[in-house]
Amino acid sequence: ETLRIGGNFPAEHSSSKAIERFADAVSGATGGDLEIASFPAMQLGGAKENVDQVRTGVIFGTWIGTAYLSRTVPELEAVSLPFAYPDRETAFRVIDGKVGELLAEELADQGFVALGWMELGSRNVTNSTRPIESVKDFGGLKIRLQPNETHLATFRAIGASPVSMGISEVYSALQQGVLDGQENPYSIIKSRQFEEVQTYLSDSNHFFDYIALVVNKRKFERLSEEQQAALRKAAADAVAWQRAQAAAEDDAARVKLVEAGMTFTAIPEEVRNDLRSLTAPVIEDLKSRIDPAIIDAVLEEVNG
Amino acid sequence: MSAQVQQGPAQAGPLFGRCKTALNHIDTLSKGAVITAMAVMTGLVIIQVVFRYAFSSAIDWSEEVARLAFVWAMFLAIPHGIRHGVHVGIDALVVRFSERAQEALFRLSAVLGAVLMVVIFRVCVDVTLYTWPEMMPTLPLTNAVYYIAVLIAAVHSVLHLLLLAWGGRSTWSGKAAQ
Amino acid sequence: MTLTVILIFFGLALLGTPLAFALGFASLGGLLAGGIELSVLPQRMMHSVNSFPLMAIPLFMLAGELMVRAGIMQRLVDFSNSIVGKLHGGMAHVAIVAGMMLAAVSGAAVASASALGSTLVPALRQNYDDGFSSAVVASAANLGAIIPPSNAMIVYALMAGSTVSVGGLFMAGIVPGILLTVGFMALGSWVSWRKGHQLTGDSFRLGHALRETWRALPVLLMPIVVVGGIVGGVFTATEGAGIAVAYAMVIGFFVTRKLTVADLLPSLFNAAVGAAMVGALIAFAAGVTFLFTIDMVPAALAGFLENVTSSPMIFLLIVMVVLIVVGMFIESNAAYIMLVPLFAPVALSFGIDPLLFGFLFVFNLIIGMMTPPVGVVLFVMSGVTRVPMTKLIASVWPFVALQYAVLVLCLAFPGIVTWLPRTLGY
Ligand code: NA
Ligand code: NA
Repeated sequence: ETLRIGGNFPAEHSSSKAIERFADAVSGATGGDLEIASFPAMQLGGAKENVDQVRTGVIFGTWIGTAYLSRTVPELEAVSLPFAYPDRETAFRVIDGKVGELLAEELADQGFVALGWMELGSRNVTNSTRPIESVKDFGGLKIRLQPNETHLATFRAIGASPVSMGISEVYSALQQGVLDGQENPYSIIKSRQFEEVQTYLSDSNHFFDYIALVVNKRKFERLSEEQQAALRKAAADAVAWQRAQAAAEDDAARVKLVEAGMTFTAIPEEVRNDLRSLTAPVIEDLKSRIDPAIIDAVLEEVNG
Repeated sequence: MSAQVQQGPAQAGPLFGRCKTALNHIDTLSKGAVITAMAVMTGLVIIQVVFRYAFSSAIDWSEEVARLAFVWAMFLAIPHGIRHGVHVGIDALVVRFSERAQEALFRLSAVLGAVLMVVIFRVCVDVTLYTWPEMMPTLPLTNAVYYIAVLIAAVHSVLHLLLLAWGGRSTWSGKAAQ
Repeated sequence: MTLTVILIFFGLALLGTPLAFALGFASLGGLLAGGIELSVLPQRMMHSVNSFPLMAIPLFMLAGELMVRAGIMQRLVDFSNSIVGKLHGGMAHVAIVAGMMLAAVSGAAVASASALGSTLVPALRQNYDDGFSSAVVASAANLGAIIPPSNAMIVYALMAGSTVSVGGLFMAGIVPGILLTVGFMALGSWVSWRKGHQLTGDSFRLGHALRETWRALPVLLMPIVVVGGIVGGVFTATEGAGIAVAYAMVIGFFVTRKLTVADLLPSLFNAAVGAAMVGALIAFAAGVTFLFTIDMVPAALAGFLENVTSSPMIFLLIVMVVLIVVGMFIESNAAYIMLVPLFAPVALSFGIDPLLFGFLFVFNLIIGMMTPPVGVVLFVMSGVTRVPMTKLIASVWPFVALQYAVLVLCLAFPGIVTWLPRTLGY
């Protein structure tokens, strides 16, 4: 049987390569009974469409930034709290622990099985106005954000002027000065060549994004126990490989951005604390929209 | 361009005439919706640029709503396109057939179109229900509203296609056309 | 699956079923044959239309509608007449120059054809035979899709994914567009001279020309604002189309004062129905594209072509010949939607400049809009002017041949296409 998996990341992205490894491992473990056909780079449609396709069983699964799933499972917003994680290890500890189990249940209620969580990356602000050394340096900066309530509210809370815009228009908007800055993981800043139109690079690390590997629950449960186990095992291995790969690529991308002439400024710990307290109301507000227990679980895991 | 007609008035019957009148009313309603959606879309695209340069800010939901209006305008306009025969086809072979054969093919093609639209409607109901819990990123509104445009377009198209299958190529000739 | 899709599509298309429905039925058959959930059909329909870049299409159509109603066409004609009216084939030149200027603000050849046809053919017919009059206007209209902005290029860029930018393709069309304009004028003069037509039109008088230039100035500035803004990155193609609408409304209400609020409603409706024809094709073809993708047809096609030849030039020639045939029979938007996802990745793997490939692809299919048996521009011209198709086809072929000659020139000297966009940093 052939299971089709579609995604919106380019074929050379670490997550797409991880899916290739996943496919090879599944085919090996099941002696060719299960074949995974992978379609990266939006071949089967954009991210939103991939969600619809998995949900209705048109395709078996997708690997996708969690933002696109949070429209169906808003609890996913709990793992992207502003300024929550000091490092990627903490981020993965959260998603691999009790919180991950809770989210898996929520996803199951909507017809998805979560097979693993890869790294999309820690998001960092760039701009062409000034280095970001204090909270007030965010003041009035026109920063492009993804259209997401929590993201927009976070940047309003720290004094910036968020603009939501499709990613394809961002480069020319930065070049024209329509935008002062944008925020993305280093590897994406590099692959989109924003260093050509941006001067200052920070390690604001304001959100951490995951890539979820999710599959259709009905189709998954139709498989035999052994096949399900093979899929889970192959996914776990592929995810582990991707996390190591993504961490290495992230570091390399930052070095390349600095080499290309960007000025890197690290955000001091006390400024990060200020940012955290300024955005605390955003977290409180989120608690009114989604189950507060899951947010508390995240915060507990981070601090504990 | 196959539905453009030169023949005389449709082979009338009172029931056929009543159906045409009813469909005319539906068309008027739908036309109003198309115009509204187009106006919303156009207005938002222009306002977006003005806001960005004049006030250096943006409305969070403007792109989403503009796209929604666009999707509605496009799908709701498809049945009007059927009525006015703007959906292009290849008539190079067909024009060599006899008038009777052409008429038969035209009606057959309308029936097939109606069958297609019925299938789309049936499947789209499921997709709409599946999508119902999914919210728009910037508005507290379900993403399923995009699919509702497809549902309406399918029903409205079925009505037009069945009428064309009934009345043939001369269905809309005469004063009711255009 | 693929075979089912192809058989159903061609079967229905040959029997005259509208192409959009033929595509829809073909997807339905393919899905049933492949045992795939039918949900993919409405999903692909909705998501393929739900795209910000595509919104430019109804907006550019709306701008065109408003310009005709605002009397802007007449000013372009008067202006052209004051400059080129007294050349051999004077009115023909007027039509071509007006067509070029209209092209620079409108995105669609079909919209240009109806605008130019209704305004210019009556004047042309006073001096020339019906066939020549209509052929000239059809050629002038075809410039609409080559000179930016161009809906055809927007559709191409969307289908090709992130490999080409709309702005880059727009710029690629400028030099070939000017070559075509000059070529059409030369051809018009020659045909007119051969047929011994009278010299017509106004003599060139500087004062008169300046006065007409002044009257046409708001329209002449429009491409600089709209296309300049898109290419300069001030706004996206879609926003540029919105600006074109706003601009046409301002001119219509305050400069020519011919536009009324009552014109707005039918303009909005006509633009929507015109764009929905493209939208329906995109929506229904998306199912076919999905089936081809999961059947790995693009990879198979690439493998096949790489076996046939390793030369990029021969590959390009094969594609051009295929497109000439496709252009004869298939409506151009349907062709972009079905063929760009197949050929654009292969062209990339052959190392062909994606801008060059994209432009040649679009140009070829735009010429196809003037070739029988399926030529939308011919249909519209014949519909507007009531000149029978056979007469039109007999007069139009030298203009079609000229366009293919320019296409060959672009193949031989790719700099014609790529120099301007590359200079501008695309
Ligand atoms: Na144009
Ligand atoms: Na043709």
